[in-house]
Amino acid sequence: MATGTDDITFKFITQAADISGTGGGSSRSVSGIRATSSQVKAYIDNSLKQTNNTADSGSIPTIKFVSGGLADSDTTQIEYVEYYSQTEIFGGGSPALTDTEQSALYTVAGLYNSTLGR
Amino acid sequence: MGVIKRKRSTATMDPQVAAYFKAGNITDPTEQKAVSAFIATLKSAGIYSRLERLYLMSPTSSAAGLLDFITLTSATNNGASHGTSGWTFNGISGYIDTGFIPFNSTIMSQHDMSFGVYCNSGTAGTIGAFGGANNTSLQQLGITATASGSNTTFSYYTNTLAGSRFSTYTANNMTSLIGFHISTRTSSLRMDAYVNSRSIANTNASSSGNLVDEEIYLGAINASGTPTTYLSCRLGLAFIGRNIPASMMATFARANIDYQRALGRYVYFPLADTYFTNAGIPTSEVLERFAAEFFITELRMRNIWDKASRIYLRSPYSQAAALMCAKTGTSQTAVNSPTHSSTGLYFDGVSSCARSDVAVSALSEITTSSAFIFLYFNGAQNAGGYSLAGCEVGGSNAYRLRWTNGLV
Repeated sequence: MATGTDDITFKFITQAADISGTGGGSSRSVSGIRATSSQVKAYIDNSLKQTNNTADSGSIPTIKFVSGGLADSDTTQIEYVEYYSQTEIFGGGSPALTDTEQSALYTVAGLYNSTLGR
Repeated sequence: MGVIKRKRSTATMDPQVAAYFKAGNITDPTEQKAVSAFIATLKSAGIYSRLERLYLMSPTSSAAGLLDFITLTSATNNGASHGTSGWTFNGISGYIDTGFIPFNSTIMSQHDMSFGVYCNSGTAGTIGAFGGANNTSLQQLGITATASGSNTTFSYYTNTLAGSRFSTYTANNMTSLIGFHISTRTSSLRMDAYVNSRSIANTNASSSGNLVDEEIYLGAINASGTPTTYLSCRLGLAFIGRNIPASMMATFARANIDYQRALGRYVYFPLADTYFTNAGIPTSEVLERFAAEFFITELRMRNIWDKASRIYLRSPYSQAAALMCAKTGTSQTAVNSPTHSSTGLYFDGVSSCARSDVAVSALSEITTSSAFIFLYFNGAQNAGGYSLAGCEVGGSNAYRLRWTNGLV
């Protein structure tokens, strides 16, 4: 169970959607979507918390994705967080993930994990 | 020496279940137990009373496999093949005539009907029907599947043939027909399509005609008395009745899965089966397999599967399985010893993490205009200013979810 405030940032390339001071001490899910070339969105527990429509530029990271921290190269990590990972999905696709699909992911992940008793 | 009197069992069999076993000469204890449990669940959930025909497709014999559980009347086989997994239709000429005409129903109505099948084998091709009927006045009840390239469009009909009055759903990059498909009309202005208990399509178009006045076929459509639109598939169950409310779908689907599995003929969605093989999750892990099957099918049917680059279900079975991507079969590399339990994969917030197999830039799904990260977790401890997952190069090229006690 999360403690303290839940200040979440989803950042893709250089554009970020920030969620600050939302509380939500029992959150089980966070997610972020890059919906267009100029829009990112961040969610906590299936609730859209912020949309950022600022234009962006930059490149997709050329290193590997890490769970449990942040990779700053393919051999080093920083900014670790303690948690039990229960379902993790990342990707993109065309068209980009919609709010409806994000909501479905949250629902299905919840059912999957509740079926497993966790 | 005293006489020990053995107490007579007080357990009684549902009379309808007993009658079904007698009519079908069904004596196998495993099948009897499966049927008893299935019917008990349907009755307690209020589903059974909504059904007018229920074909359990008994593995005992072809005669038993044609029996309707509710009326104990027999359907007529016309070229379908019976086996322990149900009825196989050849997609050319084989079909089963249930003999049931919805127009004559005592419980269904123009605005209150459903038709459903459990398909455990089959690949979509040219248009074919799991079953149904239509007539010249354009009433129809049934479900069809049509392949278009690598995609499959399922069409669910509950009055009428007019294009706007049925629901369609196209699953991209999928031709498997496997699933529990239900077409249901709950009101004059609402019909829904479900696969494995989940709503996949709906329409608010009106139902303008009467109930179809033709016998429902399985494996084909009865078009005014002539079988057409044959489908190559294998069915393990079929039903016809009143509408099935959304609130009953999960119970119905789970009960069907339990019934099919008890008979040893439950077939997992192919993608789920691949995941179980890759991750080494054995058949004995029934609960996990059920949960993962549901999850994967959901993503597949909603086209989310195609958008995902990596999917980690964090299997409770083993750490190796928890690190395995359900989509690609590739694994994350454990870094600094994350620990594994039935709760999930535990990262300690100090040094442990898991690294994916390729660079983000090499994943074709992720573009400068489309990306997402979804995390479901428990027990997170916010230590202030740290990242749940992702990567970032030089502060400007990022793909990550960061969690802080204050703004970044």
